[in-house]
Amino acid sequence: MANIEIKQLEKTYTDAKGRQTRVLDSIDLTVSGDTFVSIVGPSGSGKTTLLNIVSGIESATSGSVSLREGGRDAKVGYVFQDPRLLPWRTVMQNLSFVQDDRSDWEVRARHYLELVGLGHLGDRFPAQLSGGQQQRIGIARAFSVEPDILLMDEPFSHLDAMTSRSLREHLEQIWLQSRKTVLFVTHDITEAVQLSDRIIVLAPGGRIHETIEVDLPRPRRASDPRVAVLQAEVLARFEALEAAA
Amino acid sequence: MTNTLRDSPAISNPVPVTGKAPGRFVGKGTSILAGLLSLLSIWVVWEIARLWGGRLPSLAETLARLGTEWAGNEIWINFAVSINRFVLGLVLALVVGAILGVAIGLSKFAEAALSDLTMVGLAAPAVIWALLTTMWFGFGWLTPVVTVFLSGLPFVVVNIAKAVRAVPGDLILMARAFEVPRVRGLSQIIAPAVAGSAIAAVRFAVISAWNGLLLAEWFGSTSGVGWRSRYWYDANQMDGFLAWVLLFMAFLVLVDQILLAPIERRATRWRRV
Ligand SMILES: Nc1ncnc2c1ncn2[C@@H]1O[C@H](COP(=O)(O)OP(=O)(O)O)[C@@H](O)[C@H]1O
Ligand SMILES: [Mg+2]
Repeated sequence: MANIEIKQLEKTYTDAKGRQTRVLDSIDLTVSGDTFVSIVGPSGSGKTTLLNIVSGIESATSGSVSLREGGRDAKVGYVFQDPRLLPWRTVMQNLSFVQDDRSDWEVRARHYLELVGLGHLGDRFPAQLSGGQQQRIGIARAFSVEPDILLMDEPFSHLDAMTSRSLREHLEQIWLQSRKTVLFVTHDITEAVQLSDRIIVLAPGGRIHETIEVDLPRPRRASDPRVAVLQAEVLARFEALEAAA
Repeated sequence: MTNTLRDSPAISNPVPVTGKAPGRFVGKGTSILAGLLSLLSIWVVWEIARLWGGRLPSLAETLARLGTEWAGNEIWINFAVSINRFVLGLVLALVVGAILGVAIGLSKFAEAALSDLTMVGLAAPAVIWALLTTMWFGFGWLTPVVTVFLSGLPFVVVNIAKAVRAVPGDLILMARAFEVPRVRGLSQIIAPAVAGSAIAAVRFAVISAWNGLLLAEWFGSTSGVGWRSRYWYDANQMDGFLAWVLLFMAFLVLVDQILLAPIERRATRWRRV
């Protein structure tokens, strides 16, 4: 069971003139087991920075992040806001690129390509795919390393409503099957309510404003009245937060 | 790996994406045709030029002179000497240019310090370097080698700097997030990203450096292909002079089109899928 422990995390950027901007402010967050956690917040509230620090591609100014699975370091998969595929490699080669366990990667890669509905496109180059298909490859890539912890940064935000709705359903299904610890960044409250066990609201300035537990049965339909009620409630709190800012 | 992909029945690809798309054959046919046409047009221009002054030898006379040069071993001897100097100067230009190019690509300071100098280098015609080195080093091996180096260098610097700037930072972060080994990142992100500009660096440097070499040998040498064409010029033998001009051009076209252009096409093939 994977375990994320973030303690007193701070991030400050210093610009060329020496001015400091605080982007994340005393973040404390513990997630354990196969919990789906969404992070919502207005744009610029530090959501991407938080995921980048958790994934290790950016460093924190202070505080600590620990990602553990059993007695070892947890393996991380990251779905970025943009697909970030190697344009000079085919889809299968892109999936191959991130594998550390070389033995049966092809089986896994194919499995997750099938799951995102693109099993037949393994030989294509990214430029031969639509934006939605590329993003799905990015999702398959993150799942194909069989991570203990999955980070997703607004993975559907560049897609049209139809595509993102179907991908959201895909994601919920895959997650129900494979059960991982997920940190999912979104600015879409509907999405957050539909997918999460817990919603963390980041305020401008990068503080955790509040944490909302979502205890609804799965799979959830956007048309489910209980989902709609919770959505309205979270939305109201979110609007209050934005108005205060 | 590619083979296992292609053999797999799971992938029945509706669109041919790799290897020989039907367009390739048409491309090859037209390029041969274009080559023949350009040879023909050289001959036509030549014949038109012969209408004036009456001193220009015919193409046949020129080719006959090429035959006697061949028989007298002049072609091999002079090309051997020249290519020796050419390779030496070019390798120096590539090594030094790569170092400067990487510095300019990575550091704002290096860019500010070196970019005006590079512009001057790009703008200076090779004949300036040839005359300068002749006065500087006299009739030795240094004159052509330094000219080759100086006329090739700016093109290497500019294109390598461009290559370095083309390194996709977001893909490198992606690789780091997935803990991809460094060597794999180097070979699958950096190398393909910089390949196009790196090969362009070599192609432009070769063309410019070859011009520099000819001029340097013309003014400041007693051997080599540039010197040999001057020999016929001084003897007032236009067929000999033109025979060597044809050779220079043929050599450059061959090196570029048969060696470098296919490498560049290969390295940038993914752009044309
Ligand atoms: N490399 C950087 N240098 C300076 N400021 C940055 C950098 N990256 C992000 N920021 C700033 O940090 C804040 C949070 O950015 P980000 O984490 O991308 O927000 P979000 O993903 O919530 O929209 C923004 O105000 C942004 O301008
Ligand atoms: Mg963001």
